[in-house]
Amino acid sequence: MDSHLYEFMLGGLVMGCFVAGLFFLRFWRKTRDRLFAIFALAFWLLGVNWLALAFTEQDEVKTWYYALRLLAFVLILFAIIDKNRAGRRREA
Amino acid sequence: MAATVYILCALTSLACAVMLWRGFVQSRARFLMWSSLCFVALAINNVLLFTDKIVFPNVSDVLGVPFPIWRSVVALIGLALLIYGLIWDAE
Amino acid sequence: MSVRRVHPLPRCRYIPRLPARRDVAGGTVDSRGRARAGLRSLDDPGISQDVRNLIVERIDSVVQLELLLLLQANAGRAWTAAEVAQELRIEPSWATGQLGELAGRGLLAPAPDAPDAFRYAAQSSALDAAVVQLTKDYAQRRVTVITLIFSKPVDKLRTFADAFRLRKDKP
Repeated sequence: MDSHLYEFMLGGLVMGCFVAGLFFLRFWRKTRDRLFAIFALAFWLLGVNWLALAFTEQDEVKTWYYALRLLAFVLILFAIIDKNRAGRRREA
Repeated sequence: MAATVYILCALTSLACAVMLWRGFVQSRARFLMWSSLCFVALAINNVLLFTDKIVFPNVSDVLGVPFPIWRSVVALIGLALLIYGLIWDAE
Repeated sequence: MSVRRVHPLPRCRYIPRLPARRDVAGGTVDSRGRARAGLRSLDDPGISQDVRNLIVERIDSVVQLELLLLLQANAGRAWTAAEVAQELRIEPSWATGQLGELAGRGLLAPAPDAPDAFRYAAQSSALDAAVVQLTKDYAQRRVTVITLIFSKPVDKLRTFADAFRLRKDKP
């Protein structure tokens, strides 16, 4: 029962990340602001991370999947730094 | 290695949550509140992951519910709040 | 409740010093640029939809509007930020940002020979017509135009992106 429930949760998380990423993608198209594109990518990477976890029996720490999580948050950090860099010009 | 990753993710999430909450307080735009709460939930998710895997590797459940379920519930709530904000308050 | 800062204008010394006058709809602007809507403004046929769209989509502040109208009135000439700053009495560094923003919105274009000078170049003839109409509207219905600029609804997405800016005074 437990593993079913956990996989069910993971499914919900994957779908949620996919939808959130789609919204951010739409905002990127609307505003042409790079930040939204990066957030979309980050949420999709998080989703892929949880998707991968659903297909493995191993302990999470022993797999390399947390690299996806790391990449997602590094992307978010990059978006913040990019937003604050001097001399930024508006996206065409 | 994993410990560093989870802590970094938690801190980044928390930083986003703080920035968005500050923005919400200044602008009263509710979408920022929902996204801030989502990042809080993701931060908690990362902290729980750290606690589960690094601090208490031998404890498998809390109050009868396995740790992974707790973590996922928190993250799910956060994402649900974000999606609610995206649909109703983002434009 | 905290005051919502709609138009942060740090270091800007440009404050419109206008004689108090009435516009077509009976609105007045006092010497500090504060607008009071006139009684007739409710019946005023008002600003056309094209001009409204122009204001909503591409103009964020009165200074941006004045900048645009300055460049449009001198359409053949390319202006640098320093020249604009001197003309409008604003900070040159801020003028650079504003010129870049307007250029990004399809109202100005960089001059071919001087990369940091801009000239008026509307993206389309419809946009150009809207700017010309806006010039007339600003002359005749200044209060209404200013009210329109200040009553723009909060752009939530922009607010979201701006929340990640640590120093709020950057463009």
